[in-house]
Amino acid sequence: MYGLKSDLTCDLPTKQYSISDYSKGVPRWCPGCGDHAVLNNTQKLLKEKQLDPAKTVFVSGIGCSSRFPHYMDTYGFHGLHGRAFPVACGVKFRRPDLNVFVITGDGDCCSIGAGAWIHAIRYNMDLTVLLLDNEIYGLTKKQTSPTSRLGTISNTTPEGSIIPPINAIETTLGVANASFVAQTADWNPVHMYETIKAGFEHKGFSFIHIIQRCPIFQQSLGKEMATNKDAMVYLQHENGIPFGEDFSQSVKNTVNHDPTNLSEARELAMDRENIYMGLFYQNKMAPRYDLYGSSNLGFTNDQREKVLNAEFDKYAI
Amino acid sequence: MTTKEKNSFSEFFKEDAENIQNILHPELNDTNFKNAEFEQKVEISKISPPKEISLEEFQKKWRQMRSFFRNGKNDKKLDLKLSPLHLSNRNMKEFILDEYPIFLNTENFTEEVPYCGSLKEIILNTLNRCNIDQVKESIIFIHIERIIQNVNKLLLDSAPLFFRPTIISVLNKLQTDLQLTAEVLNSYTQEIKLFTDKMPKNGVIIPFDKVALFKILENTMSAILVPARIKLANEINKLEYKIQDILKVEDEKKPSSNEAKNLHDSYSFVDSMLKFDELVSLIPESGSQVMGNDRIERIQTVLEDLKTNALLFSQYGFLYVNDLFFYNKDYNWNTLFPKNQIEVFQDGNGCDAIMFSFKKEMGLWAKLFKAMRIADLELNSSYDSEIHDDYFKNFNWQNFTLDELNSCPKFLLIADSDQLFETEFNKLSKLLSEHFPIKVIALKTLINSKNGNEELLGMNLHSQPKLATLMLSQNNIYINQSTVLSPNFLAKGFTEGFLAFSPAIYSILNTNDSDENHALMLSAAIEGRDFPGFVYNGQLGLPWGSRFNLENNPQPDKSWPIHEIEIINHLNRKEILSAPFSFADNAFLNDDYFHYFLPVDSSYWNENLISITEFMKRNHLENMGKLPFIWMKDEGNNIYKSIVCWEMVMATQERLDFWRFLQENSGINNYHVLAAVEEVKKEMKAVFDFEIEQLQIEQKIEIQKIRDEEADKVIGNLTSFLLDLDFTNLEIKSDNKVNVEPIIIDEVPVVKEIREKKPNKVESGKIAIEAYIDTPLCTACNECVGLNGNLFKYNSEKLAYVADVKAGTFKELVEAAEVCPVGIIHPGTPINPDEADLTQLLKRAEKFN
Ligand SMILES: Cc1ncc(C[n+]2csc(CCOP(=O)(O)OP(=O)(O)O)c2C)c(N)n1
Ligand code: SF4
Ligand code: SF4
Ligand SMILES: [Mg+2]
Repeated sequence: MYGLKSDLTCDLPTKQYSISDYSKGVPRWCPGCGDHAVLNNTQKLLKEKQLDPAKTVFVSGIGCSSRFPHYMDTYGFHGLHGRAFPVACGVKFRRPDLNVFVITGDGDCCSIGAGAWIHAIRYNMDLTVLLLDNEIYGLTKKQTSPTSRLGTISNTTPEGSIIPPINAIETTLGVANASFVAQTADWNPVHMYETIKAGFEHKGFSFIHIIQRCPIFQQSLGKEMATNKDAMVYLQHENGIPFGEDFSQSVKNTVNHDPTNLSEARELAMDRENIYMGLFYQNKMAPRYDLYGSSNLGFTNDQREKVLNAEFDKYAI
Repeated sequence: MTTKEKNSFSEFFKEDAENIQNILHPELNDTNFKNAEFEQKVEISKISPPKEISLEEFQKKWRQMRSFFRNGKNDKKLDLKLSPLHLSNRNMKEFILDEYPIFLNTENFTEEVPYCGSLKEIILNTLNRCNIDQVKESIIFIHIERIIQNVNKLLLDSAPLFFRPTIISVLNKLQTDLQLTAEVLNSYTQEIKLFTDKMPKNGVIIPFDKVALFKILENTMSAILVPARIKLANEINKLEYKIQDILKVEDEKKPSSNEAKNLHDSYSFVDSMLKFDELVSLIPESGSQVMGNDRIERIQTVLEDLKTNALLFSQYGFLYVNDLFFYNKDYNWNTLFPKNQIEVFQDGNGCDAIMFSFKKEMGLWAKLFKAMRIADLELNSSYDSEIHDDYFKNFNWQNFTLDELNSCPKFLLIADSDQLFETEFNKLSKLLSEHFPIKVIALKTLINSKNGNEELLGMNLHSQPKLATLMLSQNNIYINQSTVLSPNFLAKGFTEGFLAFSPAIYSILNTNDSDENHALMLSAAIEGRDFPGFVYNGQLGLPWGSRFNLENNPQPDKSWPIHEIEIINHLNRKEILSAPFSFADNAFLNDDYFHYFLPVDSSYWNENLISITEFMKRNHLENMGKLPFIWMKDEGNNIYKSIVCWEMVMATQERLDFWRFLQENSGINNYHVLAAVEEVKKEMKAVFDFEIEQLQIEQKIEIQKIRDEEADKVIGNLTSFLLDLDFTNLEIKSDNKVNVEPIIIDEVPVVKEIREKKPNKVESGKIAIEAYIDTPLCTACNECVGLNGNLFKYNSEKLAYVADVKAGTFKELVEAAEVCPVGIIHPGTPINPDEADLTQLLKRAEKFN
């Protein structure tokens, strides 16, 4: 019996959303693509939280991953390459009542959108950000991206890339006022679900770096990472992200890490040997810029006039 | 039917004495409001007290009445001037002028403002949107009839009138006429301001006459056509530009375009920096792919067609008029339908001609739309000769979309209804059965010999040719029978029928008279069920009776419309008389039928005189010795009962039978409908009762269950607490309270998904192992379900599981296990020992089991 309360009365919600209330269309990603798993887990989260589709917005840039909003039966904005953050910030600034998600790719976020990314981190608006990092430009058919590891052979670097890649976690942790930074991988759906959930529950800019396989253009890399359980080290802490019952048996390596410890988080991020999964850093007290944007919402014209007049009065002679 | 529309009919018949008092408005009246036109007092009709007559005299009269009833025909013209009791004694005239002229909206159609309507309707509609507290006390409302009269006076001088300036000047005139006191004047100016704000912005006022219906028709046609054409013209323009661009680009691709001179021209702004001769050698010849010749040709033809066919736009419609039977041939079609091509026939050839010209004209339009569609395909580079060549070869009007069809000219056949029925019925049937979207206007003209030709008797007493209803047998035709009496309804009908793909036939009653009698006769024909309005829209689909609509009739649920009339009875007391308006009352309005009625004054009334509607309800035995009558009155407002002769009763019965046929079709008083409604009611009640009972039972069980569970828990807690007690020390301290947790069930636990059973790992090859997936770890990546959607399926959480091993091969299981990015598919052992290459497959499967 859904919704039965302690006094034995029934209080049924007007509508109980199911997964299908959040899904729309058939995803056009290649079979085997890691994007499918992210979509699936996100829909699951929306169902778990029973978010009203009419009060939920997915904002994305351009890329395979950025097609995401098309498959969500919520509001969506499939915008300009690299500009997901400014749009999402705008939405959140004046519509604090909406649940805003940002979907972006490594090219979208770390390359053309890097400027917007840095400032969005600093603004710390209440957004849930999913960076789907396949270390390649997928949509445009294989160009080296800023996160492609050294030696990546692609259409733009046929002899192998020669500049060291950006580490998105490290970069985010380096920006002032970062408030939630976590990492997960598409082939670990249980952990990913827990991570996105924690991100959604965090009030502020929740940056979730999802290591995503592109079986088309980064086939060997994806296979290797997904099957090599030794390479993944799970961050463990009571305030961290739980591994998930179904997955705990495949967790081989763990390390204790307190997510409030910023310098340790940065150290872990800079470790080139291991890939750490889980919550790197969380600061619930970081100031949020969106709270300022909404401060005068709902004012009547009279109230606005009063405030303006008070302001003008200061200059009265 | 809205009450407003209903009233507009009944108004003619209401002796609305109080309303007249309102018009005269006493407080204005006694000061300075003097207007001779409104001075006429309305008197209530009265029954004069019966005269003393001898029995002999009475019997003689009664025999005369009976013989009249049987034989009919009262040859000598009555010396009394009688009219049906229902009519106002203000000699009908002003009532009619009070309602009309007609307002026609010529732009900006909104939901609020009717598309067209009687002026009174429009004024009332506007008033209601003005947010005036007491609409009925507003000056405009009180003087509405005077306003309309003044507009009518202006219309005599020139027609049509523009709506806004006319209304404003009339409202101002009212102000001077009434010589309002300063106080009233203030609120009146306020009122005018509100009113002019809310009233329609664009429109004209046209007189209510025999051509009004054509004006409404023309206006509706333009209203449909003009926006559709503007849209179309824009689209054509756009396509033209884009197609030209394609050709231009193609041109640039020609080797010659890379010549130094050409490059020089297009890059002249960097003149000083580039060496064009060198540049030429850098650009590869015919750089990108060039189009095939047939494609270029096709595109060029399309461009050609787009350009030339825009000429089609000059024509709004094609009008074919069969005017042989028209009583008056003085309709000036060219002024009524400007921008239409008009041909007048006398011999019924219109039917053939219109079909011919329809095909021809639509051929031209098909060429245009074909060009547009090909252009569209070409612009998306999706023209595929294999598919499209064939499609466009046979492209004709039947392939048009509704939007496309609506920008084509309309094809209209206008003919006399009797002509179509009597001499051209075959041709008409053929025309309609072709299912061309041709619209037919069948005009029925009522002629009163008082002002017309004696030979042409307008009303056929015994049966009306029922052209419109006959057409019901043709499937999917839009049929509309109406009059111009409710202009908005007529206009809506035109729009509905003209916007449909199907043919449409409009059977419209018109008169030959101008103004006042026009309205009265049309109205009486509708009230008397001689010409009932109806709409049949074959495309409206399934619900019972929804296609057939009788709304445009007064009191459609009754056999005859019934009017309450206040009279003064023979005892000099006021009394309300319920008088139905039947076909006989209608017939009496026509001077040709006077000899079917014999008026008798109150001296001869007795209980054997019964109303005609009552008479028709009874069988012939009950009617033995009875005589049917209708109510009448003379110019002095004295009431008579008029005996109706047998022939007229039959004619009335015939109208009633036909009316019943219409009612049944539209679901009114239909036996089956009534029975079905009863049935459904019963069923619904049974279902509801059952559901309520079930819910009550379920709730009881649920409550009991929760109580039991919680009681168990409490007992459990208690027991474990007691068991934990250290009984070696029996001294229980008084403050050692038993801590029983309160019952809080704020969230009933969700049943956890039962994980796919994982069979025990067994040495491969020995015992069969079932195939399975570690479902919770699935990334929903589509690999396995893409491979075989019956073997692998997603559960409600969109996680994959093995749905049916029999639906696929072992090979597929192994392949899926290999592609699964997270390696969670376990193929098990094959269920079919005969599958090919098993040894090899088992080897590959090994590392996944
Ligand atoms: C302003 C602009 N520059 C370049 C492009 C071309 N472009 C489209 S997608 C893309 C890269 C997308 O990479 P990523 O964000 O990693 O998405 P993925 O396809 O890998 O999911 C680029 C460069 C564009 N669409 N707009
Ligand atoms: S190209 Fe790569 S990232 Fe894009 S949909 Fe295909 S697998 Fe996914
Ligand atoms: S291949 Fe594997 S991950 Fe993909 S849908 Fe099938 S079971 Fe799930
Ligand atoms: Mg990418």
